Amino acid sequence: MKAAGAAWILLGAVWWGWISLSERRRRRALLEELGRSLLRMSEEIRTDRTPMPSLLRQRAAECGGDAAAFFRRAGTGEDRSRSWEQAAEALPLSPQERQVLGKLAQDLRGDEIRIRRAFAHAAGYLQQNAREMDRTYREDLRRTAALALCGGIMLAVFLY
Amino acid sequence: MERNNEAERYDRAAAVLPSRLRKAALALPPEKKRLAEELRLRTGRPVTVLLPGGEEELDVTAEPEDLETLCDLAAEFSRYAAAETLRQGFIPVRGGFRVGLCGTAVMKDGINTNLVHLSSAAIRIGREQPDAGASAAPQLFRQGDFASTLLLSPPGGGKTTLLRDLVRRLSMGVEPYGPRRVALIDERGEVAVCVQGIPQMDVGPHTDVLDACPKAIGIPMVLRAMNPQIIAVDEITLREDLQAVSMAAGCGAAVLATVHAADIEDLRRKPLYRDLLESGVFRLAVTISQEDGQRRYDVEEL
Repeated sequence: MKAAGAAWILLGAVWWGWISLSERRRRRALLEELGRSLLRMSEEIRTDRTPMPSLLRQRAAECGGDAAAFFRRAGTGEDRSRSWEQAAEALPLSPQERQVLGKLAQDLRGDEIRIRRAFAHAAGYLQQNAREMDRTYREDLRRTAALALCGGIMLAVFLY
Repeated sequence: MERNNEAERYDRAAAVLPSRLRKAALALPPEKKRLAEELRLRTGRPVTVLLPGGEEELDVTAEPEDLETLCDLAAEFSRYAAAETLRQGFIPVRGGFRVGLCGTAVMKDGINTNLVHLSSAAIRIGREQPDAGASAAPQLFRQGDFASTLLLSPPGGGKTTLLRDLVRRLSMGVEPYGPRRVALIDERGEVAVCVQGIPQMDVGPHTDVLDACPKAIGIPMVLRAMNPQIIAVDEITLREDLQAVSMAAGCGAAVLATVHAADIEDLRRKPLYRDLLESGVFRLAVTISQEDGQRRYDVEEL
C-alpha cells in the first residue's frame, strides 16, 4: 500500500514536470510564431499596404493554436486597439511579453513607419526570448526534473 | 424606389459612424435622409446633418475618441493604407462616400505628412445623378469629335456631379458618336471615389482612373501611358494645371474640366482663367445654374 502510494505520488510529480515542460514548449512556439508573424505583417505593409483586417485574417488562417486565436480576437470589435490589448492579455506568455505585445495597440493608428518600427521592435523582443528559452532548455529540463523528483520523494517520505 | 434608394444611401453613409453616434443619425426622418448632403462631427458639439436649408443638430455630441474611431472605420483600421489621401485631409470610403477630416497637421519641410488630434469630420454623402448630363452631353460634339469643355458653377453648384455623369456618358458613348476612351485624373477622389483601386461611382466602361494624383503630374502620365481621347479633371486652380491642360490639347486629347465660376463673365474676371480662355484650349462651356429648385445646364461657345 505504501509503495503504491509512493508510486502514485512520484507519478504525480512526473506528470507535473511533464505539464511544466509542455507549457514551456507552448510558450516558446508561440513566441516564435508571433515574432515571425509580426515581421511578415510589417513586410506586407511595406510592399502592398495590405489593410490590417486582411493581415489579421491571413495570420489567423496560417498560424496555429494560441497565435491564431490572438489574431482572430485582435480583428474584432469597433475599438481595435482595445481588442488587440485584450487579445494580448489572454496569451500564455510572461507578463512582460504580454505587455510588449499589448503596447502595439497604441501604434495601430500610426503611419507606415511607426507601425513597422513598432512591429519590428516587438518581433525582435519575442524572438530573442524564444532564443533565450532554447539556450536555457537543458538547464530548465534538469531543474524541472530535479524539482519533480525531489518534491515527489520528499512528499512520499513525509507521508510515510 | 428611387426615394428609398436615396434614404438607403444616407443609411450607408451613417454606417461609417461609430456605433455610439450611428443610432442618432439613423433616427433622422426619411424625408430628411433623402435630402441630406453631409454628416458633420465637431468635438464637443452635437453631430449635425447638412440639409439644403442648413445644418440640423442630432441628439448626440461628438467626443474626440469618436473622431478617431470614425477615422479607423473609414480607413478600415489601416490608416497607413490611406496615408496618401489622409495627408490631404480625406479618406474615400466604400460605397462612394468621402470623409473629410480636420485636426493638427504634422508638417515636415513645408509639406503636411499626417493629421493627428482630429477635431472635426464631414462625411460627404455622394450621390450619383444619372440624368445630370443627359441634355448637355450631345451638345458637346463638333464635327464628330468631343470639343474641350469647361463646366462652370460656384462651389456646391453641382460641377462634380455633372462631371461624373458626363465622364460616364462619354465613356459609354453619346448617340450617335460612340464610346470614347476617357482618362480621369481624380486628384481629390471625389469623382470616381476609388477604394483600393475600385471606383465606387459608375464612371463608365472605357474610363481609366488616376486616383489621388495632382493634375499637373497626372495629365502627362496618362498621355504617355493610356492613349486617352478625353482627359477629365476636377477643378483647375493652379497655373501648373493650365500648362498640363495645354499639353493635353497639344497632344490631341480633348479636355473636360470644372472651374469655380458663376458664368463666363465671372471666368474672364479672374486672371488665371482669363489666361485659360486665351489659350484657346477650351471651345465650349456648360454653366450650371438653379431655376425653380432644379439645376439648369446651358451650353455656350467660348
